[in-house]
Amino acid sequence: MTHAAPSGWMQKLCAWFRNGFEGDPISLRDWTLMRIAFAALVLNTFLDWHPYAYAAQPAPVGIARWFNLTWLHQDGVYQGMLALASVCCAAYVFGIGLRIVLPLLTAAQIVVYTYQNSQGFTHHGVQLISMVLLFQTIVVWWKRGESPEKLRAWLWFYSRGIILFSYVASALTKIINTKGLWVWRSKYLCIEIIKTRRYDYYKDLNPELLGDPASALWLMHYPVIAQLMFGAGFFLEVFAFLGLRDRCWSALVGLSLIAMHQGITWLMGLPFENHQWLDLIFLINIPGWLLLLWAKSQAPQFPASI
Amino acid sequence: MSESTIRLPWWKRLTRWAVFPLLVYLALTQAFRENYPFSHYPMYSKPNSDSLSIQFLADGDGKPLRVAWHTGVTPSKVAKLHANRMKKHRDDQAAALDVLSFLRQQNADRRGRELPQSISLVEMTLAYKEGGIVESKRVLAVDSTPQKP
Repeated sequence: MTHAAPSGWMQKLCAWFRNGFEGDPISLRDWTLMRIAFAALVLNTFLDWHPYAYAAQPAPVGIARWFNLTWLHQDGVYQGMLALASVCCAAYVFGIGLRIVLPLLTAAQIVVYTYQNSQGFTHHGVQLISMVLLFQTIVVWWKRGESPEKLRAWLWFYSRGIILFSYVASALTKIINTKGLWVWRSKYLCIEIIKTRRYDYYKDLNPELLGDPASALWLMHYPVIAQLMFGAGFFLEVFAFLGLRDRCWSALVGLSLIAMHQGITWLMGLPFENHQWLDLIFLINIPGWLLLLWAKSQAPQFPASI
Repeated sequence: MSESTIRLPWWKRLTRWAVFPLLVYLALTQAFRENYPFSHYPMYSKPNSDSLSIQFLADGDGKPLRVAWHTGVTPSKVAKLHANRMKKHRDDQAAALDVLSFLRQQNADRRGRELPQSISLVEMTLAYKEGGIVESKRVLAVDSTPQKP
């Protein structure tokens, strides 16, 4: 029967989807290590924002459309925000009062960076950290009736989810803006690499940065290779959501995303360091794998739920 | 998935799926676009064969200045600021003068790093031509405001 094969693989595919994409169990040790790393990342963003370019918000975005945030320039606000963030991050690491601590931390972080993004320079370096905080806030309230084990499983699931779906959002924008022709048109991205090099040169007029980067010229002469390279990154973004399937897929997609970021850093000088840290902490989760391997070596019949 | 859930219509099953809130988030990124903390990540989303422009700080003769050293503002921020001011002024020169005035302000307190009396904003255009990339420059505006003592 020729019909049997397609329905067979379709059923397998449906079963594969049905058997994953849920909050994977995560041990307290594993989740605590993630919280420590994430808290350090969040705290670092509070060290990084002062001073602002100037005291105005000429291009308001987000809540700055309704609220004047120039009060962030007042004396002592930076120190106050840093103190608030330090206390909240410490409480977050110890898991104390998460339903209060997370909204406070999220609000403070969003206010600080909304103002920065309202000064005419859109910057995407910190935005994903804010989104992870926002989703964790939603989850601690939404799933407040759940057991601690289930709550941390959901927190991990939606932290991974927001990271992965942000990559999907990026791919969706590319699809919409080019009517599905992004991969075909990606051969024109070479000019963007040259533009980035010009920015690097005009920053300090370093003569070593004068001229066109060899990688851009090479890709311009081999457009098919450019399409293959950029296309690989594009499809990685499209299918990034598969990282939610389970712990293994999460690590696999996380590693691929970091490889993509490293490639972009080399080619275009855009490191997106915070994105890479988030991929490392929540998707790849090296301590989690080490704990899992250690537990397996200690007890061969250790339950898979660590 | 429980037997009762399987019997539900597909859209009800979808809303009960753990991934559903993330699908809502995906839709919100397109609806809210660049409204912090939301973003639809528009960078490099429209590659095409059109030319591309960047703006940089120069002296009155069009010779590039070390903008980060003088003002603490990076060249990419200068270009973003210019794009932003273009929405306000709809005129190349007025937008460029606005940017130059901002850069002067940023330079005001930087002792030993004073800007020359005459500064300009230059636009450099990169365009595909005959299998390569051709570069051209034009001065958008010159600001000759004397420095405050």
